[in-house]
Amino acid sequence: MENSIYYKCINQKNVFLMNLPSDILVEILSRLPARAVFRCKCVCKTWIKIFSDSKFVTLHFAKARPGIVVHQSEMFKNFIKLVEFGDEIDHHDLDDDSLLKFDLKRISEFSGANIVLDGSVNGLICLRDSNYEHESVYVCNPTTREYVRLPDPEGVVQYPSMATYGFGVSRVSGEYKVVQVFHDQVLDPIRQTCIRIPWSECHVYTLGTGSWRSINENMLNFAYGRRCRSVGLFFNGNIHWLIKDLDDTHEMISCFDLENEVFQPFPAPFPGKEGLLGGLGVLQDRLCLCDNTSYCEINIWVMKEYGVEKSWTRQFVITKMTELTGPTLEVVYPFKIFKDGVIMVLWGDFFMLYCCNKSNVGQEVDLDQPRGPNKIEAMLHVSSLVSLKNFGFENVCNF
Amino acid sequence: MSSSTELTEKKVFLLKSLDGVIFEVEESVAVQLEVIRELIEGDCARPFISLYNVTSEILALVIEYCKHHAETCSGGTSATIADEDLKTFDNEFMNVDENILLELCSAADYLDIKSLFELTCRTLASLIKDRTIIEVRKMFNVENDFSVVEEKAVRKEFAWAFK
Repeated sequence: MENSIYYKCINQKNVFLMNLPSDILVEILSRLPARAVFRCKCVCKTWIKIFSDSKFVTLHFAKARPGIVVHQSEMFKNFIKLVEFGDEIDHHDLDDDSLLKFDLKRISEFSGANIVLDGSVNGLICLRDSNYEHESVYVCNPTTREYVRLPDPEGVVQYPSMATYGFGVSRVSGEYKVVQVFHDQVLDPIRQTCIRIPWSECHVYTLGTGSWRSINENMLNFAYGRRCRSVGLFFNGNIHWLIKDLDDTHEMISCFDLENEVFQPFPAPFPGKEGLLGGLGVLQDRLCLCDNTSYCEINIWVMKEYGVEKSWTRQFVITKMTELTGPTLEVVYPFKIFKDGVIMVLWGDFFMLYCCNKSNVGQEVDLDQPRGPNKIEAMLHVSSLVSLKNFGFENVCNF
Repeated sequence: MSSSTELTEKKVFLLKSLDGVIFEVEESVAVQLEVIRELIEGDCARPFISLYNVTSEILALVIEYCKHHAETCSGGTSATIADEDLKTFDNEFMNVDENILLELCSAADYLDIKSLFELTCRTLASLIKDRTIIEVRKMFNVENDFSVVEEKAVRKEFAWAFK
């Protein structure tokens, strides 16, 4: 008897579709790539409401496929590219379909800027105009095309003084912070290496607070500046830099706890090597240090247990392909290992490569990479629809 | 080594669809429907289980899906081969009319079959991804509640998303 009532109802197919429970609709829509979400805002007002709901934003982020953010600067272009990894099992390609790119140069604020990528966390990135005459820091969400210019950091960075930045989110309070380490340095007149640091300071900007704070931490005798540009690596709630202890020239890893705002340096896997070409990265959820000092191989050390010095293990040895053997000045940053064992690395700021630790065959990442005097930066990135307005910013602009 | 011979009879359950059709399924299939798991475990599944939100057309498909997944997973093949096999099956299985997809999705939600829900949601999302706005409205039976001016403005705001 009761069945007949339902039967009548379901016969009108459209009735069902019109009554598609909204939580199912939300589940379906949360699996859309970011660009499709923006396109679907044109469907109807109800959908706009769904897309801006904070629960939807959280759900969408949880379902989003991991990918990378790439910054490419060329003479007349300054691209930000977002691209997701393909999800095939034994595959390590990028999904061209997901590629989103835009040219920063089209915005007058960035047209004369010397932009660098200083961090990527939970869909937000930190960009900086590294030109010392008008250094400025930006927090952006490239997915929503929003950006905010932070108040200018203190201190004029002029050679040989140096500043390095990091961007991350604190473990417990979930606060997004930009960290600036700034120090003066006295260089050895012949070798041009740092021999003394007259003073140094650290400033922190917490998103939503509107100003930089000075951190009273003694960081003297740690040199953050290296031959190549230094960026803090965010991992595990902390920001890491490869530093040099001037007392005994040991390589150390500076670790800044974003929650408690203290530095807790720990040793790198091997004693100080003159001219070490080390790059920090995260592979398989572990901190690693990639050493490119050798002429013919790239050695990747992995810290199996976070913070435990003895757990450093040389886990990957990649034989360099012939074109890359010999003396080098480039730091290599590993940032992704695929299921088939292929590792994606950034070679200096020149190009992205797939490397395999079983064979010495490398392959350039197919991403229309720049050539010549241009440079490229890349970091892991997961798209998020979160608006910068949620962080209390009033001066949110659009790319 | 301990492959004790199955002496006990294979347990079967009867599922009754909204339109009154009764399906006989083995336990390995029935347990994939999380919503009736408790009934089965509590031995309250007799004489049959009424599924008021699923038509016979959809229930038949759901059972086909669960059956294939149960067989593949218990088939003794290596995990990679099983994975490949399921992937091929899933792709084929999703090759149906979008109205059926929506109903399958809704049924998977009601019956609480997580893998099928994920599969249908992903398939529907990728359909939406490749459709025009007008086609998406049609697909979900959504009314365009923008005025001409409003629609023009919103399309302009997100013009970059239209390639």
